[in-house]
Amino acid sequence: MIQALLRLLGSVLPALLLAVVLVVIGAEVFARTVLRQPLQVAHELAVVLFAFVVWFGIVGTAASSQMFGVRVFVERLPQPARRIADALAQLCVLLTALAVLHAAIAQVQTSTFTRYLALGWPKWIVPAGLAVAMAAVAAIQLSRIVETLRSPRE
Amino acid sequence: MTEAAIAFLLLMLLGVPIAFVILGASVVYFAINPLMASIVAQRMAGALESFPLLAVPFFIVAGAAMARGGIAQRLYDFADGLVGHWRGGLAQVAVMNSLFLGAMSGSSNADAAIDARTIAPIMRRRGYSNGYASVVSAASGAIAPIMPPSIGLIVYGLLTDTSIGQLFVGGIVPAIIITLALLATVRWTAGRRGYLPERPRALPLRQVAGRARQATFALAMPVLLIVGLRGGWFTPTELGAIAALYAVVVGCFIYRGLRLSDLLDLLRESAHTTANVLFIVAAAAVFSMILALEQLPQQMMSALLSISDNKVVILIIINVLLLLLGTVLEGLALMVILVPILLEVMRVFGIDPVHLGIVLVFNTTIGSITPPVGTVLYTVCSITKCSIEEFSWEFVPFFFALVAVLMLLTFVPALSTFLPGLLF
Repeated sequence: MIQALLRLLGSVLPALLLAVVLVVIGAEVFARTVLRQPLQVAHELAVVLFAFVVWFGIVGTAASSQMFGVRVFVERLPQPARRIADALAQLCVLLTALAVLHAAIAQVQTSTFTRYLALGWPKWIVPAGLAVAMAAVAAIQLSRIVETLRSPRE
Repeated sequence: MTEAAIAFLLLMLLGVPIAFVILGASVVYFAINPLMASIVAQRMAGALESFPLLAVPFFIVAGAAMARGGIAQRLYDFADGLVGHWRGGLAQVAVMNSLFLGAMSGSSNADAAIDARTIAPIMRRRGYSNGYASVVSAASGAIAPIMPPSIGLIVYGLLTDTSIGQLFVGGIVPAIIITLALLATVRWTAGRRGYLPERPRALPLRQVAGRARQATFALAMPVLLIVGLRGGWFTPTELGAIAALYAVVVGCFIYRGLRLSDLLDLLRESAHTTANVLFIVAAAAVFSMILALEQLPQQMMSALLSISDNKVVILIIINVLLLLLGTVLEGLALMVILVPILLEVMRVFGIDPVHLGIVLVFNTTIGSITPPVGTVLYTVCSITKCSIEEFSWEFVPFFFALVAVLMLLTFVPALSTFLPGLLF
């Protein structure tokens, strides 16, 4: 259930949002150059959805361990030390994600009165997306820590 | 600031993903120097609220669609037709192929990964050492961030308010020079090792032309970009969207290598690549604010001027510093963090922003290939299972070739500025 939810949030949703952004900008170019009638909301809509592509996309990359980190030093450690280093690294990501989540919630609270001019949508939706993404990343890291600590010692 | 620097180093040594290294160090800084609780999220969201930045995912989609849609094989065949008969034929093809692929992907990581997965295994089967095949894959990835459309140049353009169109056009001549330098290096190293050509003689011109015709739709993309930008009809973002739609249509309906059912997978992969790149940019925007709060750009500038006020000396120092930093930090993050400092240098010494952009992006790209650490180095070595030691040894001649080109681009600004001056 959680895996399916993470897949939806981290893989399916950003892919679909990216497609929408592409279509929106394509339509804007068509409307402006062919119909001579620019789409007023296109820029704002694309920018907002693009932020969600990045926030939710990072959940997908975290879930599939595709985020780039420099592991050259850790990989030289003996197996038991490497396990500890891995667990520590996951803990650091978890704590950082929680700190960003806290900042995002604070940002949501301070931007309740501002809105996007053309769209009319409240501006807090972008930090809210970041908060959701960081909560998901924290959950992924938590499960990784448990996995690392439970893995059999070699 | 010291605590943040220590946190940065520790997190990196632990193998924490780069974006979280930068964010973690920033969080430590704000824990010690409290500002508004929302500042981290505010900076991150602010960094992405940019219409021109949308060009990045669009060009990533275009590159992925081209690579999946059957275009990659056609470009490989064309590159083989052009240089396959030279000494070290396969390695030459890898370099030439990177010039063409770079015109679609815009990312050294993406390009080097494609080479490491496709050409490096064939090279190994033909008797090339794994280290050599890995180095050729990584070094040829240095072309992509300079050849338009370049993700690095888009980000630099945004940070410095420089025309992305001019930056794209400014990258063409340097990309060709880098390609020539790498081709010459392969020729020299292959000669010493006895790596043979793919065939004894050059292909007849008619056959090469036939292969070029097969790859026309891919080769047309950079032309489409330059014409669109030069004509002022489209912004780089709009061109990115057009390029992505064009690549999907060509892949699905002309080359028929891409099925409509593959599109979700392609978009998912592109969204993940986009997130990987731009989350680092968003994180670096937070760290860049810390540097501004600590007035580091001004301090660095004073330190540089106290060493020398000669433009040449300063450019050498900056290049060496960037090369060193580039070996341990991701190129885009480095750029977001250091651009405020470099803008000061640019202002004081009257350096052309297009010139500085090309030098900066190329410099950080070399850093990303150079051991002991580097994103491209790590990407390639993890695919080819090459040890860092073997890679380092084989990389030496390529490193000198790339640094020689860097010096040439640094001290002959016209190589980067001539074409934009002519076209814009």
